[in-house]
Amino acid sequence: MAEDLVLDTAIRDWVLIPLSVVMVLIGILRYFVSKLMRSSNQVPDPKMVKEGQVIIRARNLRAAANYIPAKSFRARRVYFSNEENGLLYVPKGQAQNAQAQMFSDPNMAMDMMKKNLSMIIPQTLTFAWVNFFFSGFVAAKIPFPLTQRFRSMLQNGIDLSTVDVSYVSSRSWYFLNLFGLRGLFSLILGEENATDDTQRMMQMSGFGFDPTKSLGAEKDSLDIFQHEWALPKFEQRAEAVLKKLVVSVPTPVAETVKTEKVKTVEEASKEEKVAATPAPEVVTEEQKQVTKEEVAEEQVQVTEEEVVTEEQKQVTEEEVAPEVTEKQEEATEEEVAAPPAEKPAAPEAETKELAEEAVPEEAVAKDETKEPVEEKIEAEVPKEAAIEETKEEAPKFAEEEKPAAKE
Amino acid sequence: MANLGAPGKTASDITDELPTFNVENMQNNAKIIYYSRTFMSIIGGVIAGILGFTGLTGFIFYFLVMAITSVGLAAKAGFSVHSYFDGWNRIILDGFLGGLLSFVLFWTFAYDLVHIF
Repeated sequence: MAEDLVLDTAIRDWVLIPLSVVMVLIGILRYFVSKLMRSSNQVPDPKMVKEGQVIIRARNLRAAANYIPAKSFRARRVYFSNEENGLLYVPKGQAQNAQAQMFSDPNMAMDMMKKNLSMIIPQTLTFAWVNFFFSGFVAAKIPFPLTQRFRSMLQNGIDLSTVDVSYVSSRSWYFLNLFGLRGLFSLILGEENATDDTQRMMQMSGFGFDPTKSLGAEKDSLDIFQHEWALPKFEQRAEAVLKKLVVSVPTPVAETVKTEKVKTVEEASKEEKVAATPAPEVVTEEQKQVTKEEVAEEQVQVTEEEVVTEEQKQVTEEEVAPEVTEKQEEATEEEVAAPPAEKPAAPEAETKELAEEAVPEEAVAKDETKEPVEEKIEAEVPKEAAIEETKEEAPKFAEEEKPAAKE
Repeated sequence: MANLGAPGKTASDITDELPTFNVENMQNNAKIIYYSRTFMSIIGGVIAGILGFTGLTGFIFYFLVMAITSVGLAAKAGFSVHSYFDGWNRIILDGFLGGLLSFVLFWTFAYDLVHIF
């Protein structure tokens, strides 16, 4: 059993505590310095930003690919990894060029050097300071025993070989602080603290090689991806949900039946929350339409809502509500003839397109309801607004909550 | 930690077969788990040092503290873990060893301050 050394109290007061306090303060100082230095040069290169956004788009496609039909997924994938003009396709010569350009750009190089220095210099200085001032004595006792092999690492200043390995020098106390205070910094400095070395390393290397390697990596992973249609029984599921809701709302009056069916169908559609990309826009738009049009309860508008709701579901509910089909076919003709005078915003135009395309489809066959969705998707893909689609998926939850609160 | 806010709901309400995840909420919840664990490991380290645990006892205490943190997180999520997280793994195992270094630091610190004064 090791003898218990009695250590001088002065060591506690003048070594342990000051060293820890100094390291915490240096960490905070480094955080603020890096914040100040970063804000001076904030002009992002548009090309880099564009490539970054393309990568994000490809990643979103991969993440949500199972919610869109196989054909549309393939269409999008070809758009990305096409040989001639695919977004992710980077010929070999161009790849090297970007890298060389990166390093010869003086601003970028200076930036990286500054970041490097701000990381390494405080650490080096503190380590030298510790070695100079606090060496040659036992600084602390670590509460758990270690093997003899750690002796050389932990007791570098102590030249007695009989001392228990638990008694360590101040250098090891420095290293213990270095690793242990990372957690503390993440608590007191918030998420964006520059004191975590490994994170910074990853960030720094990420900027330099992002466009060249990531594009290729994304393209490869997109090529490898196996599409699995996650909504095969969507129609049956939606039908079951609707049946439940319709059955629970018994009313004799025809008009109220329609309005309530509209409401329940909307609620059902809202609750489904299928993440297909056209669906959220149509849901939010038709919810807005519904809340605005509910004021004027005319038959035409009621059936118009039904039409929009029906199209949004892209499911044949005709079997559930046969009367709705007749009204719908009347209303779709009206809708086609109806001027696009409602709102000229782009998403509304998409709803109109969907309505117009859905008219021939739904009248023709029941199992081709996926096609209007696909046509709309393929028409949209080259649009730049498609970038915002995926971003709208996140706020769509918030948007759907708002109209729900309104109703 | 009171100002971190409650964990947000991640999975959507009704879909029985396909869970769709709200990424922002998931990240927020993961951050909350991380902060909770870091905080608890620091506090646990100080407690272990004051109580004078040495050797293996201290590490067992660390795992005990982590288990208490998991139970606390599950209680905060109302025990309906699947509506806030990916699964039980996330709330139990995520960041389990991340707080170990902070724990050891504060354990050493408190132990030295109190026992080897």
